Amino acid sequence: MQRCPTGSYEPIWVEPYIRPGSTGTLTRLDRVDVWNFHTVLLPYMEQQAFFERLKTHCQNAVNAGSGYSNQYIPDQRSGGTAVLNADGTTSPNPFNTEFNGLLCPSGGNNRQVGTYNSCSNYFGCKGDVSTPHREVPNTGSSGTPSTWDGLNCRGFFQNGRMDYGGKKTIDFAAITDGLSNTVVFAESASSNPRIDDRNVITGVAQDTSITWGSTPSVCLAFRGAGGMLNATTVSSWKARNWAESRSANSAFFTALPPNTPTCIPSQDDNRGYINASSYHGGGANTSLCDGSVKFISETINCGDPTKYLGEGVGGDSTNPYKFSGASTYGVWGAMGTIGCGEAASP
Amino acid sequence: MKIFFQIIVFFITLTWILFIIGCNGSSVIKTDVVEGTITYKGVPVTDANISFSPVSNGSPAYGRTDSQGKYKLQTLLGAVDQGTTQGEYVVIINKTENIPTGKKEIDPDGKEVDIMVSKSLLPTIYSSATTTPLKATVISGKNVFDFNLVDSP
Repeated sequence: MQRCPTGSYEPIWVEPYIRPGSTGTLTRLDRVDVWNFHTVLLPYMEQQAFFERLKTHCQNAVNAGSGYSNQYIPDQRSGGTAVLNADGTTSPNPFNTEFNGLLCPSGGNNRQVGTYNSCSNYFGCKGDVSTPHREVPNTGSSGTPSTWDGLNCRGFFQNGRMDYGGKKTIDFAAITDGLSNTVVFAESASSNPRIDDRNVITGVAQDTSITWGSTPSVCLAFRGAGGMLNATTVSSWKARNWAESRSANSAFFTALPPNTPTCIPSQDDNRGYINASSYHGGGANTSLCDGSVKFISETINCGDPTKYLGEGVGGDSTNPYKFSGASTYGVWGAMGTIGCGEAASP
Repeated sequence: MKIFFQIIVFFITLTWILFIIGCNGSSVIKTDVVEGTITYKGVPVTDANISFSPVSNGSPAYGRTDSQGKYKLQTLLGAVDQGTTQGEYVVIINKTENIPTGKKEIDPDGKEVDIMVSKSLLPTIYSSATTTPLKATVISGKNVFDFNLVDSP
């Protein structure tokens, strides 16, 4: 793997897609911009044919108007019914396919359920804290491109936005904290959409108190008695769609240790504290950039969760992407960042 | 035969002891209960987040108020609602809500959605460890800290 696709802004999907459509020039990278890193890793897990199918469809994309296209969507809630092709025919949504290789054998049985797409229990690290795509409040995705530089030091799969001609992906040279000190994947148990999933390991607290600048302790306060989330609203969105890049579906952060509450402000949001989790007692497995696998304990040092990223040392709670200093969140936070100058090892 | 039964009894006892140790809960540190009420201009605040950030010793602790404005602190390594360790803390209190900016964007499903911005519902001076005037010292036993927030403390 030469490049690390940041979220889904991988050129292989995006470049053939930036061309004039039937209703004018297509500037918004809709629908392909939510495809995550699993899609570009498919050839490495013996799914070349599946990969080619996505690629062909991507090249034949048509502009469906209003700034979006007829692309396959990983989170299609209608159960992956037919998708419109360029020639007017329809085909089933390929993202309904379930890959056993993406499921942890002990990840529980909350897999392809009802109208939800298939799961992946393997999440990519987006850093210690979620950082925005762009300035907040933003100018609207159909409008001005981001002022976000996309090359700060936080996670391996940090949010990125393709800049036409500019380099917005990272490669292994960017991991200056050391390959053996930086976490790239971790397990995450999937939610059960059949029920109001309040299990701390699988459930997601959905609350508007989670925003840019919310400290991890805001999320931790949702831990209730008996390992249950005590939030008013819970979401079953964690690990739900294997190809979807939005945070709760396939990304995690290292501000909070494994098996602590996961929180998002709303289902489709990139903000939040999404943590590694598993049914293995006492922690979760992670893999590091050097290819090794390590079990991370729930009691790993996580610094001070009552502080926001960079608080007191130049952090900006409204625009956290502006901070490129060392993690506030101890050893685990340091492991989540790729080049913030902390070479902490597990 | 007798030695056989002795071995059986030994293992049953061992299992029982391990069971009792294992049932002792996830608490790794010794904590003292911390609770109280948060009011803003005399009115109890619902769903506010409160954090105790340690100044010396202490473990970072946090809680959330219920419908009566009451909170109970917990820590990462301690049991739920069982407070925090003894020490000095600064107290951070905040409550936010998301309000629409008036601008719209199109989500990946093609729906038009509001771009939201976060708004603080309490004076922001309380929302950061560097600006908050609130302090607390947790001692052995049950600690009760009530906080009444005002616009310009």
